[in-house]
Amino acid sequence: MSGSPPLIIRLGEEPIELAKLENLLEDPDTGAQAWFLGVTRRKTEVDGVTRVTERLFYEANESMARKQLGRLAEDARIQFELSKVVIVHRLGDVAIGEASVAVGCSSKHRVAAFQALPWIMDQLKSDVAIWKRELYADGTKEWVHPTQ
Amino acid sequence: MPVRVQLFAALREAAGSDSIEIDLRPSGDISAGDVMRAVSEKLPELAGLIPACRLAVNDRYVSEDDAIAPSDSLALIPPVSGG
Repeated sequence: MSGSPPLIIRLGEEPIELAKLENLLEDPDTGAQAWFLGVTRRKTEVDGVTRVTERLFYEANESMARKQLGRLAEDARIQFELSKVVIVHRLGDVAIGEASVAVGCSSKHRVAAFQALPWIMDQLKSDVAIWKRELYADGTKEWVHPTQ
Repeated sequence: MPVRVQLFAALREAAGSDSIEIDLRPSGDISAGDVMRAVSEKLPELAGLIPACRLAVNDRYVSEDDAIAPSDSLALIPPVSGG
């Protein structure tokens, strides 16, 4: 390992710029770097009705979310034998097309890095204390609290 | 004993506050389930969402039967939607 620390967790209002994160995965002993970006989508279909999103707003229980993301990154590092794990989640307003989350990891071979990303995202979406509120084009606002 | 419970997202907006104080029975063990029931009683407008919520104690999810201590930091966590 070299350069940046093996686990990096960031939670904040600054826009996510992948180009500024890429060097965080650098490690001459790895052969794979993989990234996932979750991006604000304009249209959502709910019960056959298409709703148009104007922007999203994200809120977190920050102390809890930071600890959860730290444990999640460490669990992933051990389970998939990763070299480095980066998780960045945006808070506050996020415009259409902008990233709300970035997850990156590096590993010796590609399979581990490919497999780690969906696992990390599934855990993040089911457990980490972060919430989004939709602001729709018709002006209505709605917290997203999936109950299934 | 009086305990303060942090609220987030739709819970926070429905309550009009980022936390509420509830008073639980003064003696005996208090469980996470007792806290959730007390919040439902104090804020009936939240009662529909509370069964889907989890209680976090000191930033970790607990189960309904887990005991609560007076110094614990409590947060009611509605279904999450990060990502």
